[in-house]
Amino acid sequence: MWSRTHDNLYLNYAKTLTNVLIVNFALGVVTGTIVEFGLLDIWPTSILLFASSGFLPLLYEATIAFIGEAVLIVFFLITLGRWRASYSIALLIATWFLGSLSGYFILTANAWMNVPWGMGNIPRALYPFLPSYGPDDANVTGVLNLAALLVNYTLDGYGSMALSNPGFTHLVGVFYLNPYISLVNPDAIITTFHTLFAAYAIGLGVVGTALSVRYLGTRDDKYIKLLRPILWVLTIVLLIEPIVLGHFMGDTVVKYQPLKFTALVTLTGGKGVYGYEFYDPIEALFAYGNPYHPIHGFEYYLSSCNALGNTTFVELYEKLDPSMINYISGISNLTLSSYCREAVLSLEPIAPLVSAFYYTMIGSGIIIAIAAVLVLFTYLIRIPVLTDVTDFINYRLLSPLIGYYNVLPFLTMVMAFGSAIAATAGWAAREIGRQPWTVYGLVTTNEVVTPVPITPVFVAYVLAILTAIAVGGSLAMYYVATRPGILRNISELLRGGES
Amino acid sequence: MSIDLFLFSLLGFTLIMHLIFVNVIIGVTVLTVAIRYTAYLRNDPYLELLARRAFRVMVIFDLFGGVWGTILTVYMAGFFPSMVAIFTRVYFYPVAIALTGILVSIPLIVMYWHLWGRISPRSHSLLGIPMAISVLLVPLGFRYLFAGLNYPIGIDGDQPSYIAALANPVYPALALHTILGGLDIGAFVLAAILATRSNMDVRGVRIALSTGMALLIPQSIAGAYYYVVLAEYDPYIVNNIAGPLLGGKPSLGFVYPLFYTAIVLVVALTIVGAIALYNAMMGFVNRPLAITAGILSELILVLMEFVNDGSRYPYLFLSGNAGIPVNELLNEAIPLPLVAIYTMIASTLIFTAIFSIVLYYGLFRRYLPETEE
Repeated sequence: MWSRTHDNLYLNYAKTLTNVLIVNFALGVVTGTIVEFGLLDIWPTSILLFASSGFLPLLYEATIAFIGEAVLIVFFLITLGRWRASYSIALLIATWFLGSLSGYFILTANAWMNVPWGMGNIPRALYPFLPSYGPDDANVTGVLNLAALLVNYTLDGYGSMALSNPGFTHLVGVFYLNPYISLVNPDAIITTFHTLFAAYAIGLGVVGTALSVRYLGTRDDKYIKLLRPILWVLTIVLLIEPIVLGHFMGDTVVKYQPLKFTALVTLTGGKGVYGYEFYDPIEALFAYGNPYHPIHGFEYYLSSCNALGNTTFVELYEKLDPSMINYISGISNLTLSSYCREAVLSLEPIAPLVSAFYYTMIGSGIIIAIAAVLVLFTYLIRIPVLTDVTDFINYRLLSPLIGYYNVLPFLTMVMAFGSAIAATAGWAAREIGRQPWTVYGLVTTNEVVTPVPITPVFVAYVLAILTAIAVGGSLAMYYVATRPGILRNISELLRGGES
Repeated sequence: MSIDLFLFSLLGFTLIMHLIFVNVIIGVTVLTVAIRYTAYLRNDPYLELLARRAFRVMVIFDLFGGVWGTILTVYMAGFFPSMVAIFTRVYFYPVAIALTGILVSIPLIVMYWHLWGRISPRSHSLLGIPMAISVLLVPLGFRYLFAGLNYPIGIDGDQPSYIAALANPVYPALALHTILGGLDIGAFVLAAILATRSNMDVRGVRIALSTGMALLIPQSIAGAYYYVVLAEYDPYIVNNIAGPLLGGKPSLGFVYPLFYTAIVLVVALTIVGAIALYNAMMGFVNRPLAITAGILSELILVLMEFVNDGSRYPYLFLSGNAGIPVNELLNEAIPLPLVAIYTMIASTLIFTAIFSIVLYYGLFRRYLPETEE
């Protein structure tokens, strides 16, 4: 905006946002370190993710995206004010691209835990209600070896102990034949777009809220002037995000995580959720394109498990992987069907919680989409009929309640807080709804946790650190956003000048 | 080259790249805090300015050191999953200590810089203490993992007590050697930077070089102590390091020549550093020698770390004269995609080259144009 208008208002605000970007980058490094070591330390079996399906995404993330982003952001700061604006913008765009690429790689690793692409029909062999997960790029013997070792150590105490056995991967052998296949996981692609758009919405929403609060406090129109270009992007993002991307995200859940889908609609499905099937016209319309399509209840999945008959694990291993029979002695006489039923039953108690998170997300999504429409057609673009409707709501209904000049800041804050609530609730539904598995249909949660006793003191310590980062990070962003001179100091620090 | 040697070398390369930056971070952070505190005690504006300059060096190195730390972690988990699983199980709390150091140091570094001149010199000097401690917690935590490679605990599958893990007999010597080495390297690198044309600072060079030279003595003693400890617990390593001149019977032919070279370089550093320090005390900076001392200190680090880690090949975890070989811990869960691995190496090298340009602009081209001297 500054390079187009040469209005210093935009330049100064761009500098303020650069301060916020720097704090955010530092917070990203801190929280990313927590997530990385959290996975390795608290869920040690997830190390296997780093060594198999997540191998390429996570290594590419570190060696291409993250390193590039870190170098370019420092390059940007050092050259800011020294290079012409177009070069600085080009550096920022490259940094944004690498940051988004970083998101794609990390989300690809997460997506594989939700939709284990490349495992073909293997999960289905254990859970007949699951679909096929892409091409058969898994080695059945390797997968059975892995399952036997994890089960063996889980029954012994902790499944993750299997990994710290030297020679573990040699004992398992190659189980994931094509490490590139996880990069084209359909869930990874939609999750990336969905998450990045949510991130853009939250980021823009925070900036919009800051400007709105300033406007409410000062009534200075310059804040509305700064708000307008942000609202253009924010409203469009918020119309695409919940309506288009949210829909495709839901489609992948319906298709690849059927048990999770049932858990998601528990609160609207009533008792039918616990039966064989039930009808929920709205959910069915969005999920299947047909309001009369039945939705499977938990009983359906339990019945599906029965299709496995009375085959026991020992019979399975005798037929397919006899060398590992010793490792499954603890479950040798357990039938595959009862193992399958146990998984289904373990999700039932937490299904209402998952559903509560899901409908919180849906509710927030609807509210922010409405707010986006109200802002778009009244304050940004005027289209006959649509604008009449939004004007009526904004000026006739909302203005008397909150004040004429407060409507736009109010709607901006609704979009910001709604986006944050939707994203948080959505991630909670996604992760908790994956229970009882850590990797859908393959690895259960109790097979991944650390054998190290997690004491209440340690939990309190971790919570204190996380709280300090959240509070301190928010305060730091506020601090730098209200002190534009900081950017000059940072640039000079990095250049070597005195601050 | 076999795949296990290739990946062992790649792990070593990543580790050394990380340590090149980390040692400067450790040393320059402690030096910054010490100089700043002295400036406060003596009310010396020059020392405060020197502390600010040193701190800038640390900030730039800190970012890239962290990036290489992330790459190292992902490489370890990707290529040697069982090794990482052992680390996170046996050394859960040392890893948590190091992680705390990382999490606490970043905001403290930001606060230390931002509050400089905004709070009283006394408070600012005191703020440096937790910052330096948090930076030191990182190597103090992570060096347990290296001690665990030399004196393995809990690899038989039993969960050792925390006391047993924390009481690793190799750890004290290794940690002492690491911290003193970091301080030494930080001092010599700082002197080298302050000796460059755009950053010329005679007094700064004198202070940094005298610190570096003084630390060479305890560092050499710590090195000898570490050698003695290794001789007791890891004869395999010591035989490879000592070579025929020191009575060792090496299984590997390439380690001891590098160790001897490193020793020769230490002698060279002592001579070069002494002459450069003498010149600085006479009132002028011998730029080639001061810069050479900085480069030599990093070169010695590279060689010594290579010797420390490479001497265990073909083993990773060592116990006496044998151990768990690399190929037993190597990731076999996927067919390793070599093209992708080469791409990653190329990418890291390209971005490291770009970072070098950033470093050049940050530290050399535009280092002091806006000084307030």
